Amino acid sequence: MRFLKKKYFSYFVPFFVMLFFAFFEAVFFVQGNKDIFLISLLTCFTFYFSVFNPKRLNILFIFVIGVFSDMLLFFPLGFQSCILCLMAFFAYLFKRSLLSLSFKGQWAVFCGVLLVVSLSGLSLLYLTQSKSVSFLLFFANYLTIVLSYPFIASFCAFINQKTGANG
Amino acid sequence: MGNKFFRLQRIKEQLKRFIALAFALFSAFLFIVSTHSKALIFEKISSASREAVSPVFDVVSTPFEKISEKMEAFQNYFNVYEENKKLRLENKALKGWQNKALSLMIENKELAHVLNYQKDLGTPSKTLPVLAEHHSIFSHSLVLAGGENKGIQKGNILLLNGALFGHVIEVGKTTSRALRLTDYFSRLPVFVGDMKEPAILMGDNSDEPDLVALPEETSLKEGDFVFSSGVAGVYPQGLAIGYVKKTKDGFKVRLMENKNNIGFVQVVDFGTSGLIENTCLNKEKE
Repeated sequence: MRFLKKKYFSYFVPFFVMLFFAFFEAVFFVQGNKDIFLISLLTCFTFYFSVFNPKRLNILFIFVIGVFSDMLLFFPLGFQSCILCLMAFFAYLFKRSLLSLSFKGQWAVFCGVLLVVSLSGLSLLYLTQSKSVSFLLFFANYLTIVLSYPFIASFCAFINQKTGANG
Repeated sequence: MGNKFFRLQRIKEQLKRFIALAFALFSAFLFIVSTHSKALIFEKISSASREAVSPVFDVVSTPFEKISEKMEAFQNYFNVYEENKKLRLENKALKGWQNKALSLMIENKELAHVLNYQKDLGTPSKTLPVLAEHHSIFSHSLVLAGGENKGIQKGNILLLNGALFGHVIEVGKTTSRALRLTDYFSRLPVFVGDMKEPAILMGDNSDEPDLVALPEETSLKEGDFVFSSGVAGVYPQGLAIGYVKKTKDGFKVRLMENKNNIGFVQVVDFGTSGLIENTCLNKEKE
């Protein structure tokens, strides 16, 4: 694992992890013939890295990952970027208080932020495309992301530890 | 003094970050609006990314297909009784249809003989494998394993078991993208029932598209047959689509072919491709 600590390589690790996950998510939904969720699980990664490793996940990376995800899922280009940037914005906003909270506290803040971001996504969808989502799908989407957060956060913490990120 | 300097530095850094975020958000919003206007550049970007990713999708799809098949087989095991009951009823109905079809076949043969009817020489068609299916709030579309290399053109029509299924909207070198009838952007002029009442079949990203623009005093009833009208010249007339379903809010259409996990589709060129191409070019010029 020593190569992970090399300066230039470790700088791009969060970016490549998220890029891989965007691809994995697209394959799961598209090839599994599932109803594609409006809000991606990438929001968990964005939130965690924006709080604990902001230097290695800058805005440009978030924007590019969003566009890549949109391309794979045939969403209007920029939609996921908008959602992820909003997530990063809230993460930066609450960063100082989040760092002093326990994991349960961080999770609770994430739930609140995700709700605001999801509702903003819905409004954006309605404003730009005149489309609405069924409540059930929205709730399933929200619940899945909330329940996935602890697993994704543990995975991100592992990456931070292995790449020697200092937050 | 030093403390103040570090505080200023931190505020400066935070300000920089928020400005970058605001810029990214604005760019993303611009992207969304531009994509919605269906600019040619975005179609090209989308087509190029699909071309690049499709071989990987193809390889990765195999285990997913296997898992999907196994899960379906497992679910079927619990539905055997219900399924059997349904099949018996369906079989009974089909026997009635069989008799009707036989008498119609004989009648058709006689009429064709009387009118000296020349059979259609046929339209060029290709059967293409489906690389990926998209079901989302934004699109109900398919990625087909064939593009310019297989002679596919924008506007070619997709048939599944003889029923109209969608049409090709983007063509790349080795892949193409087709819109299903259920897609939000799909609009199709149709005739309904024996009276040939005109209507528009409008996709809404649900499994059953809406029937809109019906005449004011309509005599539609549940189960009426829906087929393409050929109005506007994009789709030919008489292609089977589905049956009318009455709901609280109006009329929907139960499509004849609306399954997922499609292996292959038939792509037919009815000679309407040029028409669509010209319309797109005119739009670009504007």
